[in-house]
Amino acid sequence: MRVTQQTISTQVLDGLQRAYQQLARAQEIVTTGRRINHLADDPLGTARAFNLRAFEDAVSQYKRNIDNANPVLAESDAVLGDAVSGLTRAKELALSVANDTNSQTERQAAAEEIHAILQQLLAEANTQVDNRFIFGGFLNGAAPFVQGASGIDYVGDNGEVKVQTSATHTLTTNLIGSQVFQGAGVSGGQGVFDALADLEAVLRGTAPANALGLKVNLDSNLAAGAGFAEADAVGTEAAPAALSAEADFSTVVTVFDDHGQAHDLHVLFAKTGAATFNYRVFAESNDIAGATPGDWYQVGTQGTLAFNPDGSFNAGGSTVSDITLAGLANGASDIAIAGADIAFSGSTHKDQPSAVIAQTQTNTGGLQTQLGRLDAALNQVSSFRTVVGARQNSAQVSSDALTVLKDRATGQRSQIEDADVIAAYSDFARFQSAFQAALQSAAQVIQPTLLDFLT
Amino acid sequence: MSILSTLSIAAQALKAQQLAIQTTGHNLANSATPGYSRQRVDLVSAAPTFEGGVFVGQGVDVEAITRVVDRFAEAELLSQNGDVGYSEAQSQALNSLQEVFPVTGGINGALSEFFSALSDLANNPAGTTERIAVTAKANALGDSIALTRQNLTSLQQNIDQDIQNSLARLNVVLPQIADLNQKIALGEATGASANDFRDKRQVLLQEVVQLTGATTREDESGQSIVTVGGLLLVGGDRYASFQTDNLNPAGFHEVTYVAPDGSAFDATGLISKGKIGAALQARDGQVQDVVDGLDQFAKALVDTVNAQHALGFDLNGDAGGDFFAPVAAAAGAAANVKVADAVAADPRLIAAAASADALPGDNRNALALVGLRSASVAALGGQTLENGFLALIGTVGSQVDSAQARFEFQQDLLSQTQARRESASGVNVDEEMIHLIQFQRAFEASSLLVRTSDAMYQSLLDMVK
Repeated sequence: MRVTQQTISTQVLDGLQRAYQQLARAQEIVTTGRRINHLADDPLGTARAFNLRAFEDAVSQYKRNIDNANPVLAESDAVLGDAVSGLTRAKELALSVANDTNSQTERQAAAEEIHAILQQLLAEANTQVDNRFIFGGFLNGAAPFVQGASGIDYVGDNGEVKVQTSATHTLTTNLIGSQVFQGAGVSGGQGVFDALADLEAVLRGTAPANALGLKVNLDSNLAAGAGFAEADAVGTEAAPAALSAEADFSTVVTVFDDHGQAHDLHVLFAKTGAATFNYRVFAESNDIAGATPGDWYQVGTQGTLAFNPDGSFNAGGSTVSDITLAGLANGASDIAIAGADIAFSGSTHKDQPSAVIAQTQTNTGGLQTQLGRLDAALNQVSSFRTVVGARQNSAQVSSDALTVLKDRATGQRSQIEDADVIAAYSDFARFQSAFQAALQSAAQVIQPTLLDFLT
Repeated sequence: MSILSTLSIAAQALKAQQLAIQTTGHNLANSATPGYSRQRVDLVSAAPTFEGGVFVGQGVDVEAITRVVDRFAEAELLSQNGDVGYSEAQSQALNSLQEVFPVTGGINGALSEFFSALSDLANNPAGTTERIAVTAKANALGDSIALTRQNLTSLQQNIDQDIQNSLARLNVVLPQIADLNQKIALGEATGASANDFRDKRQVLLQEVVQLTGATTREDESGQSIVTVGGLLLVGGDRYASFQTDNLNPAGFHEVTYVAPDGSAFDATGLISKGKIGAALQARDGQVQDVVDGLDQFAKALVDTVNAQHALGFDLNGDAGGDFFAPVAAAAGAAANVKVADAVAADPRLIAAAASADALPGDNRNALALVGLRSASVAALGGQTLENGFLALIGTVGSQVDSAQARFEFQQDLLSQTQARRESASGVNVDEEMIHLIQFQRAFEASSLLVRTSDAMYQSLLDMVK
């Protein structure tokens, strides 16, 4: 093939251009440190890198969400911790004044402290994190617990504030105040504030009345009698034996005074008709100051009960009277149970004799009852604290997992996008020397012509 | 047989060698002229005369000055020029197209940041800072989309400008070819060869083919006939031209063909090859596709976000309005992605809550908005927003890749053919120098012949004295 100067110079130019392009590309890789600088450098890799970067962004955001949730969780935990200590302290106080030897002054002092605990818990239940009331549900712009006419009202809602911790998972950050502090919707739920307020009231002697519920079985085999023969009036005393002989059956109900002392009430029933009973309630003489030892002391006028044939209570045919234990021997306040607070119900178990087959006592006036409620409240708060702990744990685990995920994605992306520095530098050096070689050979090839040798 | 005839041989030889030296000089002078084909003086021995029973040589004759060409290489070069013109223009256009989409950040990054801002809002739905951040990131996303669209449009305008320039160039070149056609036909009708006119025309033809991918042939009188897509560009001394001031509805230039007889019509669809063909395809095809895709993406984004936003409630307890200013049609949507004026003016109007009764802590609609990130969007063929965008630019990368490879391949082919042509027609300076010396020696020898003849005459005259 004939070769001309033009051929060589074209070849040289082409070669130089190509070497220069390679050099420029190698230099771009070295200076940017990236293997992919244009979409076309690696179309598939670019798409994967885009996806990985979006994933990393999302993961970073999930981590930020968790970081954001952490203060709420921590604050919730702290508040519940305080609530547990407050309730425990209240319980100690109640126990310390539960016996007769404590004077009313000491009980007042305890009441004051419990009042303070209640106020503190109320303040903490209205805790804000980042200007948000954490126990208010979605209505977290205003304090969720406010003092109402009859106790503390919850004005928040049941909104669960969630944050995203992965593409598919969310973490609930808040506890609903009404559940934690009022036991709303919680099985066996207890009002924390109510328990404390009632305890305070008990200690101050301003406790509300007790309530009783008695369920009586009607036995048709039992013959009706004439009722009680003893005189019927509050304060009447009689020997237990005489009364028991007149009654067809009886039960004992325990009530508490505001000193937390238990008192037994004997409720005696006498059948007067097919489904009618008379009943009387007595205290034991040692509970009542000035009563004759050994006697039973009547604490309410005789009541009458009428039941329908199917065993249900016939309120219209019944008279339920108040029970009042006045002049208690230990100096505690009177225990008063209004007739309205005493509920009777009936049942027909043919094969069982007439008897009281179930009884309930709501002795809110009693310290023992309040102690029980405090225990329930403590359990309730503690169990919510466990929930918070579990969430904190889950947040931590998620956060750790996200860190690993992000590092892995970053690593993968780096493998796709970033230049292998050593290879990039050696490529650069290689192309550079290739370029220089091309230049040198070009210089030598182009120069000589026959002209150089003719003269 | 006479001394006179020897002198006449010398005179003719001197003339022939001088012509050869002149042609060598012409070759040397044009050794770097593009498209130049070296010329050769065809010397033949003159017809002998029969004298005294023998044929006596009568010296040298110049038969012709011919142009050394490899006709096959020449023809191939023409068509390859069209291919190279096409793939070069395409590769350039696609390269510019890919540079519109940076490999980091860009729309994708802005989209990511927008969703992050929404997520921050979900963390604190009542936060003013978070709300302002959402509007800011949304506007940044809109700006990013609008900027990309603007870059695409200006890319189209650049390509359009290229097309206009190319057409203008054709308007210059086509008359020249017609003119050269005439000169060649006239010159060669007399039996001479119009070497230099042919070289010049060949260069111009290459340019036309490169621009349009036209096909050329030569008629019996040596005139070129150039056609493209059934349109006659040059035929003999007649030539077409192009009007460059007609715009199509999109605001780009139409290719208006004006036939030699003056009739004109839109021939945009008829030119599919060469530089102009590639540019038209890029302008109305590849780039326009990306513009349309971006518009569609923008509309899907606005519609999807607005639909979810309308399900929520703002901080005032009112049902959510439009978050983005609504766009009516997909066409041009990418230029108009921005936060609705009302929301921009009062970020409290961002509907982060799912219920008007759960303010201000309700973040459910904000979470739902964040969830759009992984939701499939019907308008994007069921893809997520992010993947819809990736699909848009994913094809660009591979198109560029293959266009570049094609261009390099075509160029290699062209170089090889050029080398082949050069091998036949190129001027080798050394060769010409050797020819020069050769002709010079022959010239010197011929001069000596004159002197010798002269001396012989002298001798004869001296004899008579």
